[in-house]
Amino acid sequence: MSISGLVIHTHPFQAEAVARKIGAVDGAEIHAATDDGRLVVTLDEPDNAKASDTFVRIQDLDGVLSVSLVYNYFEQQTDEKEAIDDNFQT
Amino acid sequence: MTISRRDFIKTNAALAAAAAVGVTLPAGESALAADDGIRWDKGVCRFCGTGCGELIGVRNDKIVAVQGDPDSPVNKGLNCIKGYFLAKIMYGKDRLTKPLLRMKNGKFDKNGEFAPVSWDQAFDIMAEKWTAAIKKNGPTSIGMFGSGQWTIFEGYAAVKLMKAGLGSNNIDPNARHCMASAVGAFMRAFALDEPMGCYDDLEHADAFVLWGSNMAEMHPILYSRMANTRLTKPGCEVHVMSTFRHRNFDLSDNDIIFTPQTDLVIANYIANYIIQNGAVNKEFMDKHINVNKTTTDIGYGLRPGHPLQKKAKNPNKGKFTKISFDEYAKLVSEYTLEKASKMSGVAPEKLERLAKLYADPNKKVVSFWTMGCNQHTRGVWMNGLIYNIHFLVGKISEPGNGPFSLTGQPSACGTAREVGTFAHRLPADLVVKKEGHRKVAEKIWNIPPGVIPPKPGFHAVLQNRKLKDGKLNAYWVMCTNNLQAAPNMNEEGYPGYRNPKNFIVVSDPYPTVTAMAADLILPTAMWMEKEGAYGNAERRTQFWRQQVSSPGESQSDMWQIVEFSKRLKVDDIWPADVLAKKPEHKGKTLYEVLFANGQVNKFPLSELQPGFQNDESHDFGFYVQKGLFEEYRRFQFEGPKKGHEMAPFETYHKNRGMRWPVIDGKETMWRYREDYDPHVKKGEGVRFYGRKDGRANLIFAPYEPPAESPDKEYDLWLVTGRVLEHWHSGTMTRRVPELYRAFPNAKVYMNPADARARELRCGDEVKLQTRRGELLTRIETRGRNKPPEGMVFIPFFDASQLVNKLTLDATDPLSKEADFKKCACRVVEA
Amino acid sequence: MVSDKPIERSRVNNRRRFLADTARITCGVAIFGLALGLYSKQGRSLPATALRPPGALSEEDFLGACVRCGQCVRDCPYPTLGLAELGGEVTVGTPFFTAREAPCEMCEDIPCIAACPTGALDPGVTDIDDARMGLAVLVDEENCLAFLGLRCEVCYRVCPLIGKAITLEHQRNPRAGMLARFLPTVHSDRCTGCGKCEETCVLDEAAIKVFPIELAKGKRGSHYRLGWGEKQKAGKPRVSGIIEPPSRRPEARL
Repeated sequence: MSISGLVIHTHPFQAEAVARKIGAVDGAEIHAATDDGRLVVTLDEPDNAKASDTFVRIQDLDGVLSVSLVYNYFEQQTDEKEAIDDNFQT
Repeated sequence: MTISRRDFIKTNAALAAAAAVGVTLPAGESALAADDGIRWDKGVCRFCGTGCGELIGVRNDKIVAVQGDPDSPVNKGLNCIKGYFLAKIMYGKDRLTKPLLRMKNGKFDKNGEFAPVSWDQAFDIMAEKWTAAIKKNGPTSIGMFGSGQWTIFEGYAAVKLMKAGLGSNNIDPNARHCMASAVGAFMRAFALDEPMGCYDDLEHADAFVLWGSNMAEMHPILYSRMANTRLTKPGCEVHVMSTFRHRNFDLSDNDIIFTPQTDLVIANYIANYIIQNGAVNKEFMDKHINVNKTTTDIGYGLRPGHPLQKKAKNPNKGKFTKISFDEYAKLVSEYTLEKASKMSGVAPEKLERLAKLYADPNKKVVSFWTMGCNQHTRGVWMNGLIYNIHFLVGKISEPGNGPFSLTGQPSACGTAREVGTFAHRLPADLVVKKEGHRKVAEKIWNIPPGVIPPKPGFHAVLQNRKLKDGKLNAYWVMCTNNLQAAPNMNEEGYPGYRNPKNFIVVSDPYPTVTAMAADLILPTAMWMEKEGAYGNAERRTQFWRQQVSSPGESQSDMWQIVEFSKRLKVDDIWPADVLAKKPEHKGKTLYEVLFANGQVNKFPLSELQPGFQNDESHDFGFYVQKGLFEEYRRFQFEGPKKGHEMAPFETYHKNRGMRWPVIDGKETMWRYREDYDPHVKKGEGVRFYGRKDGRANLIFAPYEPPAESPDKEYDLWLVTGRVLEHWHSGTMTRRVPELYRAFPNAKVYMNPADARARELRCGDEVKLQTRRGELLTRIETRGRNKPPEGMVFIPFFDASQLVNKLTLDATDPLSKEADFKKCACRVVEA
Repeated sequence: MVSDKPIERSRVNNRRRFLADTARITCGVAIFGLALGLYSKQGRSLPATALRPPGALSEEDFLGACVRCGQCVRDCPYPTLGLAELGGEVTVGTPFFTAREAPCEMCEDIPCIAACPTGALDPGVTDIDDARMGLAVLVDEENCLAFLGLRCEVCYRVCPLIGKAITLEHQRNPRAGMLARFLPTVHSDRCTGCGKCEETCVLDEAAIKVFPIELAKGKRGSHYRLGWGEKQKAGKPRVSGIIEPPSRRPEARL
């Protein structure tokens, strides 16, 4: 599980359009928007690799000036046994 | 990974991002996202008398979270460590869910084992025992021991059942062990109970004097407010008095550690200093105060045959007589600085600094006290001596100035005192002794004259003695763990419970020491499992709605009281001549006379709090809490005593509590003072309207020695008390694993020099012995409490170390409150 | 009723037990190599949760001096000390304790040191207050209830050196306005590292933890000294003979 808190800067006049697009992204959720076009967004992805893909996709959206990662929570879903097995293979 | 945890993390992520851009998330969003379907509603903390406001979070009929109410005027969203764990107190693994009766061969047997029975069976045997006891030995052979943890409604129902129904004054609350001395002194000085000030004094005062209160641990939130004032107000000072060093001294500017019982000397010295130094507020004294002296040599509330009791000239006499101010000045003149310092063992400059503080007309002073002054064989006197000081300088009944007795239980004020669950009282400060007061009660309760006996019933300590003597035969203990909490359980309490002549019923959510000594245990719904109301130490009445169902067959104390009344018939209980005065009651059950009587049952179920359950009301078919409260309010408005007025029932469900008297929808912060108190007329300034002449009583009382002091055989003072982590007998807090781990077992705090003298080390197992018993414990020489040489301290929360096997049942002869702070003990290697 | 029995402690966590079990059922050179690897890893430092008994020499010296006899563990009257097992993070056979599970009770007669035949536990430590088993650190101020303004401070009240090793710093609580905060503050010159604070912290995960001293403490370079400290140490200014010339001021103000 990977959960991130993002602050997305947009062109103020494009903020609404960007928000709609982000709303369509799986796992993304908009929590607040400021008058000057900043959006508070959370990303809920299975792991960090997928999260960074989505992160890049958001960055590429039209109207997005920048995306900053403010918070990241990551939890290893594999259980302890597998983790140790991995270590044994070295 | 559960959904709720994921949502929680997501909320954190959103909050962090939002904080980075300086926006606040919509309130609904954060609450909903984080709480995942939790319903929040207002409540009150279950523990001490502070009365912290809480918000209770419920999901799937279970309390899953609690938070301090951020808008509560008492605690501003904060809690102590007990409050932090409130969500866990109802969910101990050993909650009682079925009535349990001692049985052998399918029948009740005092020596049988506990076996589950139905409520019907439980009430059947109770009704049989109660009716038989009354028939055989009259209504003084039945009794009830109640609680400052009862809700207001429960306390009121209990008083009514006992006094108006069963015709017995043998009802007393555990508040007798806690507040009785404070009550006694309030009544003697003001003829009205409870403090004149409020918690706002904590911010208004320039200085605080603690006379026997470890607020740091026992009233943690009030201590926090006091500390804030000390930190932020220039010149603010805190004077701490105690017989041993405890955590309050962290905040102290003047440490006063005195020899036990010499607080009486110190208080009289301060009065003397004020007089000698011309600091008396003459105008205030002339206009508002009567000067008196009390009868002396009054004994120690022990059994009449006890040598100390025989020696006393005026055992149990509380009479006081008017004297002139000059006579008073002469009486206190013997309490010089030199004498006070010598007797108390406190350096003269410390005592003088304290006296100067009270004498300084430019310093606003609040005096706080709790068990140090109340659990005292001269507790009523001691409380009164503090009032004397405040009277002399006129520092009372105004913001930042006043004496303030703190309470230890969540509704010691609201229930035990205001509703009158004491052996001598009736609701709203009325007393059974006065015919006029009984008449008011008989009228409101619609019962014939003669049901309420004029003679006060057995008080707490006397109840245990009467049980032992076989004079009290049917006995119901509710909402308290009195076998663990009452003094001298070895010689009085336990033999009393197990006396074959007696039938003991204990209602409790958990199998306490008391429950295990009973014959019948009734499983009880607690705290948020019922609609309730508590009154805290600043006269604030706070209500809550029922939040969750109670486990198994458990039922609230109120349900038990009202349901039991269905089993009793007036014809079996009231004498024929008494019943003849109200023939319309003939053939009725007590339920019909007391509850389903057209008055208590007049509010229909349609008025219940929408969206919340109310198990008792649904069972009885009417809004029982509202009916009881509105009837109780009649005492406040129709009784001869004004000043206790409360708002209508519904008001309290809408607010965070109000401080009585509530007149015209407004609460009262400072009593007896014009502009603050609606009962004081324009131009009167101050009026102590509890007495007809509008004046309060200053009552001189001298030093008299304690009942038992250390000697050669038992060479240490034994002081008992509490710790922050646990509340009273630990029934709730010892079932919270984290609190258990934080302070698992009691230990005896000892001065390192005393330990060395006995060749003992910190952590050693020892026997703590008194003339009444012994227990095994470990010694602690490093801990939070640091007794002086010659004294040990032990908390009483631990059911595996029953400290009250050791304590002496000496009481204040006036208040009948036991002195848990002074007896003689010794410590030997185990 | 909660039992009065001391808490049964699991000295070996699941991961360690898993490793040990695996080692037993696997054979061949690979496992030997693995064990060797574990051994060499262990030598370097103590894991953050493991604390040595009172009087233990510095980790390197201690490992040299300790003969793994287990006598200190035998004489410990509490369920505190245990011996490290194979595959754990602590060198096999050496004594250690885990504060959260069972802290040092600070016996006045220090039986563990008395039992040590080699001086790995320094017999020069005769007052348990001088022991330095570790150092308590309030690692999480965001979750510590006292920092949040709640009246907890359990760590302070259980501290055997209450008021010395842990004090409460009184502070205003700007958020709540009329309430104060009482912040537990550890003093390294008095903290023995007994671990009572970590054991009793009421949070699900302790906010105050005891670490081996080398993990817990920062170290300043010797090239900078604290002016006030040096002056106090010397009892006089480090450089003497400097004069304070008078400043010109209007007469009246003097």
